[in-house]
Amino acid sequence: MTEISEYKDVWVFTEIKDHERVDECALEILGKGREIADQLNESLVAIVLALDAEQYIPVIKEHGVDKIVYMSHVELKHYHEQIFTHLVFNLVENHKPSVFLFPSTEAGDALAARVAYRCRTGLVSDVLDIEINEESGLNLRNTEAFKPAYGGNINVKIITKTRPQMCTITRGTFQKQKSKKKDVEVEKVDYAYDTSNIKVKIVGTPTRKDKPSSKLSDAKFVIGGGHGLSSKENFDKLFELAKLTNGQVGGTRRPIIDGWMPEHLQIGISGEAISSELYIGFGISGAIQHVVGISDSKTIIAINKDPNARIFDAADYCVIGDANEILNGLLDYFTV
Amino acid sequence: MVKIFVLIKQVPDTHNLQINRASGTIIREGIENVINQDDFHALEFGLNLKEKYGGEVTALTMGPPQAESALRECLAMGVDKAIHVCDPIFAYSDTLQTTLVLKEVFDKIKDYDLIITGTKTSDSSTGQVPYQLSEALDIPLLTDIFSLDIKKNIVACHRNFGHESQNVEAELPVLLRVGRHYNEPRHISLLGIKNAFEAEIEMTDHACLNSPDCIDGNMKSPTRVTKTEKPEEMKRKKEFLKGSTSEKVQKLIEIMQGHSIEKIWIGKQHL
Amino acid sequence: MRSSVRKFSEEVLAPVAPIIDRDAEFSWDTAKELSKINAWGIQLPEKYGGADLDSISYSITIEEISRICASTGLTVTVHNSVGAYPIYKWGSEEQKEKFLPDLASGNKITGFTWTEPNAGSDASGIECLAVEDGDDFVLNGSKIFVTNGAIASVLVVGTRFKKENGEEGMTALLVEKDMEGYEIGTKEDKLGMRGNPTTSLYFNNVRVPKENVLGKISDGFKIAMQTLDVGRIGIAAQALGIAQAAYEHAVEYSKGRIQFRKPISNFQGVSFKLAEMATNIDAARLLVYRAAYLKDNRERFTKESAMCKYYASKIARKATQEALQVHGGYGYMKDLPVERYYRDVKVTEIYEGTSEIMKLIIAQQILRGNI
Repeated sequence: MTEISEYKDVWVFTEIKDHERVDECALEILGKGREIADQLNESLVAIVLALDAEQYIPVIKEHGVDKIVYMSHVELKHYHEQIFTHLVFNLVENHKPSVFLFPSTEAGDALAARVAYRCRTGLVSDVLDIEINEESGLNLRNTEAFKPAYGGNINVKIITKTRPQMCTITRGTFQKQKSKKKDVEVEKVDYAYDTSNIKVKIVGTPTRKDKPSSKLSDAKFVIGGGHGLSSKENFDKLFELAKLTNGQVGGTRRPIIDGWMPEHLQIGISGEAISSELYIGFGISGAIQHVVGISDSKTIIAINKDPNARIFDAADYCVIGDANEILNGLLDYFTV
Repeated sequence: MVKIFVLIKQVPDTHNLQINRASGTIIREGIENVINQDDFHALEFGLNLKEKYGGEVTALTMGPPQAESALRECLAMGVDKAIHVCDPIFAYSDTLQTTLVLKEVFDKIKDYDLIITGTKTSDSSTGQVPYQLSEALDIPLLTDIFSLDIKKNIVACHRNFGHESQNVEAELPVLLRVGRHYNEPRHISLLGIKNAFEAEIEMTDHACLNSPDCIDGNMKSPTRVTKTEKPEEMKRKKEFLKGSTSEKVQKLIEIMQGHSIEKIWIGKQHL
Repeated sequence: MRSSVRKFSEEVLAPVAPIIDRDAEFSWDTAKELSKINAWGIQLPEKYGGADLDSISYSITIEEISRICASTGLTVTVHNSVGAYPIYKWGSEEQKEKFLPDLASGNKITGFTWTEPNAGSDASGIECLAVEDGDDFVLNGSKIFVTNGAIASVLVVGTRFKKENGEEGMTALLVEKDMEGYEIGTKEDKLGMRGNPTTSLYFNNVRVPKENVLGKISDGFKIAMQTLDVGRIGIAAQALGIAQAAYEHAVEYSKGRIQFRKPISNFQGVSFKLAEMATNIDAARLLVYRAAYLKDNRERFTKESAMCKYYASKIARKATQEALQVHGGYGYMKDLPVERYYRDVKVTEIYEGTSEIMKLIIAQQILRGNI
């Protein structure tokens, strides 16, 4: 077995999205990876598997890497679980990185979990922060990952006793850092995979996917409406705005009683709890029955005529004004 | 006869969790344990498949003795059998150790066609087990599926993968990971509850496994939780936007763009 | 058990509860959903399609349904405890096979009717008359305040009877909606329980075949009294569910409502109300479960069932009143369900025997030596 001290370097799985661009999240992670590599006094390495991978090298070079390891092949055009797992695991076996970071994407999550299993090492998902821990007594450095657990109600710190120390990171956790090292080493590794092993066969021609309409509780952008919109016609405009912005409409109890909105769209104690990135409440007074349901949203905007409306206490941005006028203004912008 | 296994997990109800400040652990007293929400969708999927193709649905969980109640709930929902993988040495298992235990369990079961999981658990929410079990058992994992057909030993399904919608085929056995969108879990009937109390639950412990040497949740898990803490309560900014209505609208649009909400393409009118 | 029914109620009943209250409409869609969880045959044997549960499980089910929607709780409890139960207990095998499967599945709704314009608390004063005529009884008269009246396919109807040989008495007949001369009156406009269609019924020379006599012909009064003993446990459980809902809302609201820069739960004027509600509800719950336990163990429970109904409905009325008070003006508005609880709960002190009649029964029992 390899000694832990033999594992070196910080790797980032630099995912290529839709065979056309470097994943934004991967670039953000390179920023954090640079920091960790400096603290550990090790190199930051970007791992790229793609079709025509060379074209992405210039962009990656601008994000502080010491080295780029890439493979380029037509079979790497899309993420494939068996091929990618096999190739990336081989790279890890041959080079033994101490830290390996993945963007939390469909491919990143899957690949990280599979590679971690093959390495029999730990994997921490959706980390919020990474620190170097000097206390372990082995004169080794551990990354310590903070991750949200229990629906975001508590944070835990986790250390990984094995190597490589792997984690996935969601978009927006870290900032992109532009910096260019002088001599970025670029290494091409030959592609080799026996495709006769492939277990899942694609039948017919795939089509671009049509997204299933998402549930309120999972929606990233929620548009809430209350009694203050004053009529069904006005309330319907929320649905229009939602359609134009890929959002979801929800509301208080009152619009259900008024017959403006179906029951399953109620947000609050007796309805759904949401945890959207952004919530905008139109004409909602802010009874706690409703506020409880929106409090997990990252950013809350409230629009109400009444400067003392209680919803403002729960909001990041408060707009005193006629919810209908504001709604019309937004619709004008998004329709044209 | 299709042998279907649904993996479920009992998790603490995530509302109002409290942390013991001294020990940094979760206070479990007074917290209700429930079946992980996503797993209900996996159960429903399994029960639907059984209704369509016949066969047998087994709910399987790895967890402490009190997880029995979760299995009883599965039985009440209509599964045929329940297996409880339970041993003190499995405690503190992280995902890798959990996967290794499950691999041992399925190596013993041998005869399985479909293993169905939910997408994520609400407690640790790693979502790793389906992928890792797919590696461990060396069987394909199909995710994000929305229709499925079984013909002899071939499963054909329609799934989303990357930005594509694909029709794929694979040979049984296969792992399926079910999302929340494709079914509405059934409600438990009163008769189901009554029968569930009388059903037997099969126990699997460390001694039952073929090669248990690599298993030790506490000592051999590669990751270890060193601290738990309650995140600081988010303080809302409560910033009042000033100016005329159109200025306020403009500012709102900027905030929306900051959250990557842009005009979306809805057809030719934009060309 | 409790959590399963709670989950069902919160997901399926919660969205319709304010609607059926507003529109005073029974929802057949909801009835179908209830059928999936066996709510129409909670205590009927499995062979008729029921869930064959004990009375405590029954109480919990009614409590949890009523916690979310009291009107639905009413429909369900009346169907089960005073409709299906007497048919199961006193019915012939033919009657059971004819009616119970449809009742257990909820394809048909049932109920029980005794009350008449001139016979309320005075149960022996009924005037509906069934006169023997060949193989039938010919029924004439009317009933009022019939719970499930508009939706029931078959009802247990208390009547006087007169046989050709001159024998008279009281009997319980299974009267079916399709029988000629059976007429449903207009739906009552009620304070609460608006989702349950309560009507009058008119019997105009309705020919009820003799095989529809429930039990022995002269057992009518006994069947009625024993059926009501059972029914009262259900009504008590219903009151309990409403009280629980009101109480939970009061707790949540008082913790979130800030006045004088403090949550109002910090004021003893409010928190003492909560303490009292909690204690009363628990005490009532124990009384309900005791009556259910005695019934399951085939012991006398007339006194205990009257006690639990009297007490649960009283404290439930008080709990909804206090919960509304805790909510202040918001509680008075239809935005919140608290005002609905307040309206719904009152009738639990009236139907299946008023509180005064409950006290009468309890006192009679005590003075007869059942101390």
